[in-house]
Formats: sequence, structure tokens, C-alpha cells
Amino acid sequence: MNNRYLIEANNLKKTFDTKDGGILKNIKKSRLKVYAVDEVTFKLEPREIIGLIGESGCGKTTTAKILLKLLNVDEGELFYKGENITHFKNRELSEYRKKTQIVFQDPYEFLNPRMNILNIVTEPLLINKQLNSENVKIDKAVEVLESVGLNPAKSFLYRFTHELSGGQRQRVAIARALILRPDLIVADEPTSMLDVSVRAGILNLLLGLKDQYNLSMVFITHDLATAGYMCDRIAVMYKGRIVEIGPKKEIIYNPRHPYTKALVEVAFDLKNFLENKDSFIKDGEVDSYEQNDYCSFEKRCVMMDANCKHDGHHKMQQVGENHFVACCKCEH
Amino acid sequence: MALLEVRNLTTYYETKIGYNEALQGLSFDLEAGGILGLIGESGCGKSTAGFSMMNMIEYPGKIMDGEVILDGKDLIKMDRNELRKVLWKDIAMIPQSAMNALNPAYKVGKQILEAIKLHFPEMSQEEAVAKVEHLLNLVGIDAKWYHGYPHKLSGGMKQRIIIAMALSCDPKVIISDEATTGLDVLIEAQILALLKKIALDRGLGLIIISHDLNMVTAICNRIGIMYAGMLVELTTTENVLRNPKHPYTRALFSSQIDSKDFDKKVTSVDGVVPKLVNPEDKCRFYDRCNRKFEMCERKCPSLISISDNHRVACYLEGDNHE
Amino acid sequence: MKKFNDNLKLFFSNKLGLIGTVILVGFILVAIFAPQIAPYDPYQRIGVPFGKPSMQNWLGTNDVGQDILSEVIYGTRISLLMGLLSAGVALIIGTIVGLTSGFFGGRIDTVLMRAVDISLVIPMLPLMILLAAFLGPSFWNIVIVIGILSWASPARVIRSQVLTIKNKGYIEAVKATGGKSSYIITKHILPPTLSIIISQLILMSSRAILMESSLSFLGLGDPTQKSWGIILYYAQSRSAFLSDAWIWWILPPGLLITLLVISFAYIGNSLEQIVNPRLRR
Repeated sequence: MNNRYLIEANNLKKTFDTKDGGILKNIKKSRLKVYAVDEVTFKLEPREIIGLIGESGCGKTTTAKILLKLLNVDEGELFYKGENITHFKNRELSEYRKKTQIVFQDPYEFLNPRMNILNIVTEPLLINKQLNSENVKIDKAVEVLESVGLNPAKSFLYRFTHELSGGQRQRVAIARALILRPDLIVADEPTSMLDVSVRAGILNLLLGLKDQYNLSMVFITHDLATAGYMCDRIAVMYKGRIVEIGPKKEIIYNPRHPYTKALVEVAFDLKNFLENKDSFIKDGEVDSYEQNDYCSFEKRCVMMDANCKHDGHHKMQQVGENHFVACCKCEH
Repeated sequence: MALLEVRNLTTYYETKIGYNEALQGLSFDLEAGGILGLIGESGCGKSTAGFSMMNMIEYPGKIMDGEVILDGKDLIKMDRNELRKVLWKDIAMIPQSAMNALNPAYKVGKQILEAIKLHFPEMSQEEAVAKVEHLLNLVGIDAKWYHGYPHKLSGGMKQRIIIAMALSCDPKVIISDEATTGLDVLIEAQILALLKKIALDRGLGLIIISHDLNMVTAICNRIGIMYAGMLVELTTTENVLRNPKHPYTRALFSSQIDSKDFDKKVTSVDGVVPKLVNPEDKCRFYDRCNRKFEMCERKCPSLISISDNHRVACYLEGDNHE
Repeated sequence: MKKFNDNLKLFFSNKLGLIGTVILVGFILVAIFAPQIAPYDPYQRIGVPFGKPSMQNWLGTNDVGQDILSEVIYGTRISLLMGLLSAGVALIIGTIVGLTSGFFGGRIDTVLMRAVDISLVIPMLPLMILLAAFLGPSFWNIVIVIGILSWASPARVIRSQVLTIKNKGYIEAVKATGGKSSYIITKHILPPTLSIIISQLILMSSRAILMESSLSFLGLGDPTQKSWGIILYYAQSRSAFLSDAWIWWILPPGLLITLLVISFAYIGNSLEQIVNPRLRR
């Protein structure tokens, strides 16, 4: 495999059992298998930010957890700097985990409320046995807290998370992710719980840290505007599959998949969408468990016709430079 | 005459160390068919505003002052019995966590039916059922769901049911308190489109309480920006977009991402919202404002008209200099 | 620290909890200073057998002429110790089961929880008698029998607490950093569970004291240790119920057992209200 890429995800698949259904169904053990992630393939270059965008339950968080090896895949392979890490265990795994970190959506949930900031931030060092003395611990904590803009860092060390504002908490969470000097940070909707006026600060901080520490990022969001601001490339996911992937300007100014088109319209011209919503998406709700073996967007697509119902899911096809779409209506 | 007049509405919360002045002097008019957005960040008092307008504030909260005049009647002066007749029938609310507002043990249609029967006891069973079916149809839910249970519905569908319930007694004003927060963007947009259409078709007054600038500017024709319990700017959507006056409004827009130019840096507002328990009498945005001067520290500015349909609470605008 | 003070305030704002604590402290003092308080050595014959209460022997003497008051005072020691130790054994087993079951989940969880169900369903007393008879009467055997018969309900309570903590975001964060299970359990799961373990320990102690008394009363206790149950056993076997002697021979230890159990229950309940905010009114 090529060493040029930091991460290569190759045809990742992950299924979950659903427990939906009546009592009888449970007795019969006829549980439905649902693809949480299906045929997900992408590559991530060093210092690149890729955005995973889609609605809740579309598999973006599952994909992230697979990248962090918090979940094992059923099928497919994962490469880190050209090395196959799909089946890493124990020692190799903990080496890999030092290089990848996550920032969660809700920093309040993510930080142990019983620990002070000093212990929260330095915990990754403790786990990886890199703490020799109390002085080293404080120095490292101060250094990393300053780099996330918590000044003066010393005044934060012995405080608890409930004493901080939402933005400060998220900064602590980022500091904790940074302290092991990772190559890859997965940011799972890091600003969706924050107020607009604070959000900008966190986004700019992440962009600054990317340059300062040569980070790559997987940025998960449901907001296309944020993705446009943060990412180099955007992958749009729907029901566990990537339906469109490409450079952000291609995705936002030249969307090809009907789902992406609707997302772009909602994010950038909501007024037009509200007036002409029927030309973008079919009204009504869709059961997210329902899956078929052709196009997954079928139920909500305004371009759907009989041709779409051929066997097999739509294959990715190239429609521009680095721009791929899984829709049979999108020829060159 | 306006459909709904809110005058100097003031709500405080009792705390151990004094009153938390969560809502201070909220005033606005709402015309029939008008869609007003109340926008602000967490802790700005926008939800308190919603509940105060319905006179539904409970201890430790207390409405200290103000009038909410709907059809010439003041909701704040009503006792519980009078209020019960007005709420839902004249003014209805779609609450924040609408998903949990449905009783899981009853069929969806039954729950709407209950609401109708409570307010129209003279209506016959057939009429009422027909009305429920009509409402379900209106919010884009198949009539077969009349006999469905809430846990079978997705979040967006539950939200639609709640809208149907809010509409069930033909209210004149609907308050939507972050009603679509937490839904997926496409579902949210579809529901907003539905709300807007219903409001315009029926000539309702709609108040949208939200933190989402993009959403509010797209759906509302007038917007009130709230900060720390006070309305700091109240004007038409055009004015907010083209000609924002209050420094906080401007700050909000500079923290928004520009869809035309992703390289343009967004800026955040430094500092935190001031404590609202026994606040000092200075502009509440003083600590975070980049255009403050000595005047701002002496007295909190009040909302004054600077032109037709444009009211701002800032000493930099109009002749607010005492 | 502030939180601790708040909890302390909450604990003492509950009148029953306060009463329980006062009673328990009283018992503990009596147990510690038994040699100083007791007028005689309870193992010494100091008077006539079956003596009635008098100025020398306030509660009279037993069948071999030992002072009953001294017996009862020394009995506080044994009963209290026995109760706490058995509860300790139950809690050790319960905590291990609850933690493993809650944290690892899956098949282990299923197996352990079925074991819990079975052990909750089985009628306690007959099994206890059987086990005690099989192992033979001795101080430690009683402790073990009570311990291994009452781990199930604390195990279940602890498991549910572990389940709520396990799904917190910060546990996942620690996993993503490479934290091992042992680290997560000791550092993130055990501390917030500790308060529940302690409140369970108190509640279990009261049950254990009752069990010990029942076992001893049935003659399955250690006859060389003068616990309240053993006093009752001898009183019963020497037909104290048939004479006036029940007033000074049976009533005092019986009342003390009740009092101690009540004090533990009061403390346990008010602790549980702190630990489990849903119980607060």
C-alpha cells in the first residue's frame, strides 16, 4: 500500500443487529441486520481535513469509531501510513491509539466531572506511562492548555469542568486530545452544542492547531457551512454509504447527488428551499432501518425512476477531478 | 391593531442571593400572518420569553411586570381558569423537546382528539375525528397513523404530530420554542416550510424562538435579537441582514460562515454573558462590546426607534444620548 | 469538598438518619469499651444459676450463673462484628460480580445475572440452615455462610450503577486514549460507585445481624462466642419462655437486636437518598 496517505479506509463494512419488532420476533431470534457502514472507502492525506457529513444515523460516527479502532469492522481494511492495522491488538493497538485522538460533541459528557482539569488533560500521559513526576505533569498541562488558548493556564489547572463555560470545556477536551501529539484527530460535531458566538473560536483554534502540529482531521458535522469552512474535502454519507465525495468547492458549488443538492440548498439558500422544497426532496419520513439492494436514497429522491432500480447499489463514478458520485443520474 | 401586543414583559427567577433578571422589558407587536423570530444564545431569556407570553411561568419564576394583549385581553392578568380557556385555543406553543411531549401509552390520533374535545365539548365524535384526520393530512402524516403509537414514529414525525396538536384548536398565535432543534437538517427544513405555509395560509401569528441565524433569517419577516434577557434590536429581516446596528447583532453575523468565501475568517465574541442576578445598571453587552464608551457603563440603554421598523438598544444609534 | 459538605448537610437534615447514627455510635462505643462497662466477666460464674435480677446482677444470671447484663454487653461486640464482617463478605462478592457483569456485559453478564436471579429466588433460611449445619458452627463459618447468601442484591444495584457510568462519554474517551479495562474500572468506575457500595454495606449489615441472630437462635451459631443470638438460644433451650425469666433474659437481647437493625436501616436509607437522587422528595 501507498505510504503517501495517513489513513486509507478500504471498503469498510459494519453491521448491527436491530432489536426492532414485537415480542414474538425476539423469541424467533429473527433479528434484522442493518448496515451501519457499508462499502466506505476513502483516503486521508497528511495535514488534510476531511468532512463527514450526513444526518443522524447515517454512519458518520460509526465510521469515526472504526478509524479509532473503538469498533472492529466486519469486512474491509484500514491502513495507517501504509501499514494494515485492521487486526491490530494489544501493544500495536495502543501504539496506534497514541497517534489518533477524538474530540466529542458534548465536552460535558466527555470530561469526567470528578477530575480537575490538570488530571483530565494529563490522563492520556498517565495511561501511556509517560508521566515521571508531578512537575513534568504540570509543565505539560500548562503547555497544552496555553496552546488551546486557555490563558493563564495555571489558573485552570485545579478547576473542575462545571466551573467552565461551554467553549472553555471544549478547549480542555481539545487540549487532552493534543497532549500525546497525535497525527489524526477525529472531531465528532465539536461545535454543535456551543453558542454561535463561541463556535467560531473553536473552529479557528482547530484550524490553527492543524497548521501548528501538522494534524490530519476527520471532521464530522451535520452542517455543510461548517464543513465548508473547515474541510479540504467533503464526504456526504447517507444510510451508511458515501454518496458523494470530493473537494469542498466541488461539493458545495457543483453538487451532483440529489441528496447533496438538497443539503447545499438548506445550508446556503434556505429561503429558496422553503419555497421550492418539492423540487429538492420528497416530503415525508423514512424509516432508517429499511434497506434495499439498490439506491438507498430511493424514497426521498426527486429524480427517482425505474432505471434506478437495477440490481446492486450504485457504484461510485468520477464526475470531476477527485469528485465521485454514487448516482446513476450523474453522468459526465 | 396588532394581533398580539407584548408590553414591557419582565420575568425574574428567585434565587438565594436575589432575583435572576432573566427577562427584562420585552415589548413587541405581532401582526396576523406575521412571523417574528426571537434569536439569541443560551441564557438570553428567549425560552423564558416564550413561557411568559403564555403566562406559564412557575415558581421560582415570577412575572414581575408587563402585559400580553391578545384580542384585547391581557393574559398576564388572567387567573388559571380563564387562562385555561385561552391557552391552546387562542395561543399555542410547540415546546423544545416536543419528542417527549407525546404520551407513549396512547394512540397518536387519540391524543389530538383529547385536546380538541377539551376545548370544543359541543363537537360531535365524528366531527372531531374528521378534524384530526384533516390535521394529520395538513402536517403531511398519513391518516393510517391515527391508530399508531408514538414510539413507532421518527423524531420528525413526532414533531409534525405536535404541530398538528398545536393547530388542533385553531389558535391565532403559535409560539415555536426551538421546536426543530435536534432534528436532521433536511427534516428541519421541511417542517419549517410546513409551519411557514400554515401560518401564511391561515393568517396566524407565528413566533419562532431559535438560536439558528440561518433558519430565522430564512423564515421570519421580523427578527428580535435578544441578549442577556433583553431585546437589543428589533427590525425587519432585510434590516438585520443588510443593516444591523447593535454591536451584538454585528458580532453574531461576523461569527457566521460566509457561503461565498470560505477563506474569510469567522470571529467569535470574547467573554461570557454577564450574571443576571442583581446585575449592575450598565449596558448588558458592555463587557464584550468592542465599541463601548463611558456612557455605556452608566446606564443600560433602552430600546428606541431609529427609523421605521427599526429599534435598537445602543447609545451609538439614534438619539439615545438621554 | 463542597459537595461532601452538602451531602453531610443532606444526611443530617434527615431526622431518621441522624437518630440511626446516634444509636449506632452508642453501640460501637459499648462494643469497644465492653470490658470497662460490663460489671463482670461474662464467661465467669459469679452467682447462683437462674438468679433473679438483683443489685449485683441487674438482669439476673443464666443457667450456669453468669451475669446476663455482662453477656449482653459483650454480645454487642460479637453481633456488631459478625454483622459488619458478613456484610463485608457479601459486598466483596457483590461488588466483583456487579462490576464484571456491568462492565463487560455480553455473555458474562447474562450468566452472572441469572445466578443473581436464582440466588434471590431461593428461600434463604432453609439454605442457610443447611449450609451452616454442613460447615459446622464457628465464628468464621457463620460469616461466610451469611456472606455468600446475600451478595445478590448488592450485586444487582452495583451493576446498574456501573451500566450508567459505563455509557458516559468520558469512558469512551479513555478507551480511545488506550486505557485498559483495569485502569478504567479502578479510576473511573469504582470511585462513583463507592457511595453506593457503602450504603449497601450498611443495609446489608442490618440484614446480616438478623441472620446471625436467627442462626444462633436455632443453635447453629458458635456456642463459644456470646452473641445476642447465642444468649437467646441458651435462654430458649433452658425454657426461659416458660418462666418469668424471659423479661430479663430474652427481652434485652431481643430489643437490642431490633434497635441495632433499625439504626442500620435508618442510616442506610438516608445514605441511599443521597446516593440515589431519584429517591429524594
